[in-house]
Amino acid sequence: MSGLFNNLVWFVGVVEDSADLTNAGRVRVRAFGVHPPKGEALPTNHLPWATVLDGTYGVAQVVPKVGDWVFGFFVDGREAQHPMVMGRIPGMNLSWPMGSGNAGEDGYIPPESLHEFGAPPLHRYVSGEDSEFGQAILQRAFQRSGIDTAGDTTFDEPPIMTPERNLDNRVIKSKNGDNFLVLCDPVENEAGDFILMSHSSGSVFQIDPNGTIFVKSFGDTYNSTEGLEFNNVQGSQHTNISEDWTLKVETGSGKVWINGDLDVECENFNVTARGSANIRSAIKTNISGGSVGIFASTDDINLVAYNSIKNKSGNILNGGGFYVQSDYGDVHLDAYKMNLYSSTYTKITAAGIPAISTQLLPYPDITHKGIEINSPAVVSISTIGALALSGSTTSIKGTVEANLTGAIVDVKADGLLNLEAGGIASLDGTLVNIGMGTGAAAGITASTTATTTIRGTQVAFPSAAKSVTEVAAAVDPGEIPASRASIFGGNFVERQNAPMTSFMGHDDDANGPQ
Amino acid sequence: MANNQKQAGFYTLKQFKIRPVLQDTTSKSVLDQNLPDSTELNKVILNWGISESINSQYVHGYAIIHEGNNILGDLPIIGEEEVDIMYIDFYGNRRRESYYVYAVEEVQPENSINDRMVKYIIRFCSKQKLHSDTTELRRSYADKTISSMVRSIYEDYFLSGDSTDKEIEIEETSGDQTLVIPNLRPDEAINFLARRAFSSNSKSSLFRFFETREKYFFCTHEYLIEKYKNGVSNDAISISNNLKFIYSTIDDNTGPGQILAQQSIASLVYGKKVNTISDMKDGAYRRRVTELDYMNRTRITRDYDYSADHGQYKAVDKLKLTHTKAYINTFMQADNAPETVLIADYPQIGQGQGTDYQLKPYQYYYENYTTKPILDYHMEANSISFTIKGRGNMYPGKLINLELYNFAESLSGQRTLDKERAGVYLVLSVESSFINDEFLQKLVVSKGGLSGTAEKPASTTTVDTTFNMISGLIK
Repeated sequence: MSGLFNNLVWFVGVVEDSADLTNAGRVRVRAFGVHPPKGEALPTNHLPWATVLDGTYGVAQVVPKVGDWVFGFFVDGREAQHPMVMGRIPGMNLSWPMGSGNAGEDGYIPPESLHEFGAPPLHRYVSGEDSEFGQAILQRAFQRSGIDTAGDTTFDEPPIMTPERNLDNRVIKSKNGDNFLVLCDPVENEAGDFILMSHSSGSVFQIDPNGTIFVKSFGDTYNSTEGLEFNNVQGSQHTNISEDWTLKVETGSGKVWINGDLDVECENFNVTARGSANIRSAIKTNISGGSVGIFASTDDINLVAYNSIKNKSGNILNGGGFYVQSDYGDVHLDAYKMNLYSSTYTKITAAGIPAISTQLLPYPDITHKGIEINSPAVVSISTIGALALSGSTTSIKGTVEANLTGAIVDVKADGLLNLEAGGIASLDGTLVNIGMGTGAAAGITASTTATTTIRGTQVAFPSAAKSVTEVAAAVDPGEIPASRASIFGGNFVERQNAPMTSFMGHDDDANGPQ
Repeated sequence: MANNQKQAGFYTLKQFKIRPVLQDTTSKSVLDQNLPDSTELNKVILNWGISESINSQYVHGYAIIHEGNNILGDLPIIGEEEVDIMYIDFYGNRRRESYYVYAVEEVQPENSINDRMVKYIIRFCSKQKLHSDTTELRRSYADKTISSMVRSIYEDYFLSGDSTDKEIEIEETSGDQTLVIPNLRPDEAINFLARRAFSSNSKSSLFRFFETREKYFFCTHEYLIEKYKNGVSNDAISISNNLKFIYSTIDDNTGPGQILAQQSIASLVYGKKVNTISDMKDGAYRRRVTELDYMNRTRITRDYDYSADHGQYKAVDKLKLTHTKAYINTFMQADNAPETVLIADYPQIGQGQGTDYQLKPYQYYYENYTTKPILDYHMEANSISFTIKGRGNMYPGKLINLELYNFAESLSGQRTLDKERAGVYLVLSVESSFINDEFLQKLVVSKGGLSGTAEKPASTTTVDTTFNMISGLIK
């Protein structure tokens, strides 16, 4: 074989162009001793393209940057038309490129590398030089401490590793070294054993010597997965959010399970359930507020208690009361015993409008009006003051006996006064006065039958029944339905296949990789 | 005009002056000097010579000086001198040539019993060689044919402005190229270009850059054959141009006899007849070129078969192969041919070259790495050498007509033409030697093979008439 690789000519040169439009990663190199300084005799675009050997076998495909000194060889020997670059020579630019206007200009240094002047050859996380440059200062200045948790504690951000001389550090860096990955092994009696991935903005990913992982963004952070996400925290988790926090579950349901207490503190607490809202507590549910309102927008409010339902309102200062308004419906109270007590007065008023109701009642509304008090035993109306019974027709009837007793008993009729007894009629007094103008008394029947007329069709007590027909029926906690089932079948713990994977090469057939 | 009284090869050295190139060593330009007085050496030089070849980029020579005046120390001769030589050849043609002295060697006493005289050799080269060698070429040429690059290099680096500057004759090449000359002397740079040059007119593309005492050439041997073929198109024309040479042992001191002696060859060496192993190893008939296109991970291999193609080259005669085709096909198969591996960094078929020289234009690798070495091999393998009486106008690149005879018949006195070897040859090199008053030239010539047996060589005259024709010229 002849033609290539027989008489290699080695060279050291400067990269002048890396914009290889073939995307083969080639560079144009001006080789010392082979090519003249940059100028009309040999402009950059006439330099032959040099193939850059990849010693990493595809792991890290790096194109040398303009201004890099590189070492290589001409495959075709002294013909020097086919250069190959083997590697980069570290160094510091202490000469100025031609055209810079400074003394010591060198025609082999491309103007594009002017910013490299004086730049140390090793990265600052290796040499410790130029540690004042870069994002470390920003990262240190913005190291947050005393960050409040929702509890009474605070926490601090871990410190980000700063540049220092450590020749054992391995640095993988971007072209200008602004973005880099530092890998440091543990060194006895020295800080080390960390991984630092740092962006020029200051954003950082760090694993410190303790194994603490610290991720900090000086911009925004997005976590996004096309599959599932699992977080496992064996200790506590504390989150401090300076502004808003939202959580939206697009299609599935949510579940929060906390072994201890869950304290939520906020300005306003608004819960909207597009279906039902269920609050379940094993012991007690306490709801308190400056004002508490319960509003059923479309249906009833049901209060059910295993024991009593107790209402208390107001105090001596505000005189708050207990108000029930049901202008268009009924109020029914059924109890074993019932006491109504008021400190000042009690009024029972019925407007007497004939009731029209479609409700299921023990007796029809027709003819019911006014106020009725029924008792199989005693109806006692007692007052220290006056007792007044007034009505267009007032009847007092005792089926056995009716007594009207008083220090003075006045019976007065503006019209007729009829006294009638089925038995003996007695009128006795220390003095009996009988006036004139009653000549027609004889033969006129007393109107005692009026009492039955007043009651209408109301059944008498023995026929009375409980009036509550719509019994309160709250949901039993045990009957609260579970969260809506996941659209994924509720199989949360089974990892979903990614829709696309990197092993799907362009040569894979429709059946996927074998 | 020929002088009947002269012996064949007679010449007269009229002048051999030497002088420093620089009058003032602090001066910057070699050429702008008013040269100081020179020293004449023609009385102390008995032996000198000049070499020129189509394989050499420059003419160079030597002179052996015998002197007892300490010219070497007093002048002094320190490799900063030029020599101005003037001589007259057998035909009375006066030639004047100038060279630069670049070396003094083998300084020694004249002999062991005479240490008052010193003998040494001065070596000199053409002035344009030294002028061009002062520069190391590192530059690019873009979007030009190689022939135009050669012209640029010649004009920029070979022309000194001196009146002795020679012209250059350039054969046009095909295809624009962009190339970087990688730190080469100008003559090396032109050789670099010659290796890449391709001509659609000359199939061999065997470009050579060489200097003769007359001019520079950048051309193929096919171009030279085309250029000079009319001068040897038949015996009469060859004889009239003094380009017909015969192998004569006739000792005739008469004028016509010396004219005949001027056209006689001596010290004939045919060289090798055949070397089969060399033919195999050097790829005399088959060659393989593999181009590695590593950007496309593609290997392109092409085989070349000279045995099938040899008739398509311009040659001085219809040539035949040394080996039979059956032998070539059996023992020199393509798979075992010498392989040249190259990098293909030019576009594949259908692919654009891109802007800003992202890819090179087509490089003619296959063509250049097959035809050039094979043709060069056959030219060298079939070369013969001999000596003639000198003349000033014999240069490499010229064609001459040789009348050669079969050995056996020559010995028996019945001379018959060697139809394989007789005929027109291309002069590859000329070594001129001037010893005392005799001017000899050793020529190496070749026609690239043996003439086909079915074809007659260019010579159409009979053996017996050649003497008469040459003699007739002088009557």
